[in-house]
Amino acid sequence: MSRNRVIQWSTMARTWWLFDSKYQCPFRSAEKICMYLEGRHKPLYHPLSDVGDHVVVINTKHVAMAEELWRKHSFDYDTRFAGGKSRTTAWQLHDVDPTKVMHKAVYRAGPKNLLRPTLMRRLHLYPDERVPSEVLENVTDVIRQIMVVPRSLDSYTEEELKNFPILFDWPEDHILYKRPPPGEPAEELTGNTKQQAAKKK
Amino acid sequence: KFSGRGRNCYVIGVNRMLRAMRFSTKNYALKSETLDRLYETRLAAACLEHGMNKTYFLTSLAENDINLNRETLSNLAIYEPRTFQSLVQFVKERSEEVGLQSRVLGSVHGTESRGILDEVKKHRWSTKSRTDEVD
Repeated sequence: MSRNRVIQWSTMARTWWLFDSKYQCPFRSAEKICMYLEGRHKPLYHPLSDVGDHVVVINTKHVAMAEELWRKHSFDYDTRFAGGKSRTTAWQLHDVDPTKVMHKAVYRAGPKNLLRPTLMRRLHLYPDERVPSEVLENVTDVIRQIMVVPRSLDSYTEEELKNFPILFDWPEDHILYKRPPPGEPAEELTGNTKQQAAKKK
Repeated sequence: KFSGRGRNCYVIGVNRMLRAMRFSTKNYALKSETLDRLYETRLAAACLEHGMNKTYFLTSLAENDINLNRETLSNLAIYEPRTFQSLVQFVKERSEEVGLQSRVLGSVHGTESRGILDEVKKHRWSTKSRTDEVD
């Protein structure tokens, strides 16, 4: 059997990638997604040759934006008719359709030519982890996340919490003053963790 | 290419021909620029496959007197992938020899997926290790 034939099939195949956008920045992850949609992850890339892949994005509902962008970032639209200008803030758009923010981010990051609509058609966005089986069957590989997802305090075990390295501790004679409610005497508090533990005992 | 009266009338056709020739002379530099940019994107993809930074790869090749231009490198990456892999391997081994074991090498997408605990252990911020060093 010809081995090179199969190699050629595998190089020219259009692969399906999965991307989990939970707690990821939509704009920065869109740049990476566009790389795979255009085919810039392949050495035989050319802008006019159709070498882009499909990307399935899940958890677009849980996408995260920096600082106050949810409140302040707005998507402007103009229908080019009288009174056609409108402005929607990010949180409003996200309420209406939780995939729209990601869609717009990828649209913005894509090439600004007539090939962009075909790229967008190869992008599949889902707000949750529920993806139709017909789509999931095609998915073969995973795009790594851009931002480190921080661990919540609940996920740490007690052992890990005990053994976590102490970066800073108050000196032993340091007293934190806590203003008492009127009428009650002040409670002497120390910031030092060792003294606190000794006090508890 | 020549439509309308440009096809049949000399004076009009000549002017259009001269314009075309002017553009073709300007295109020599532009063509090499656009092709170089294409080769660089292809190299970036090939380096990503092998878990390396493109700029690091190119600079270390130049430092070690491997004077392959971007065109040949990208063609190697497409048609001779194992040769390209050997070049990447050379750069990795050379950097270890020199003493530049950077975090950029060996990781496909950088260190974004590292956890906080790994970072802390790496920088040795724990009090335990400090006492060991003192002893």
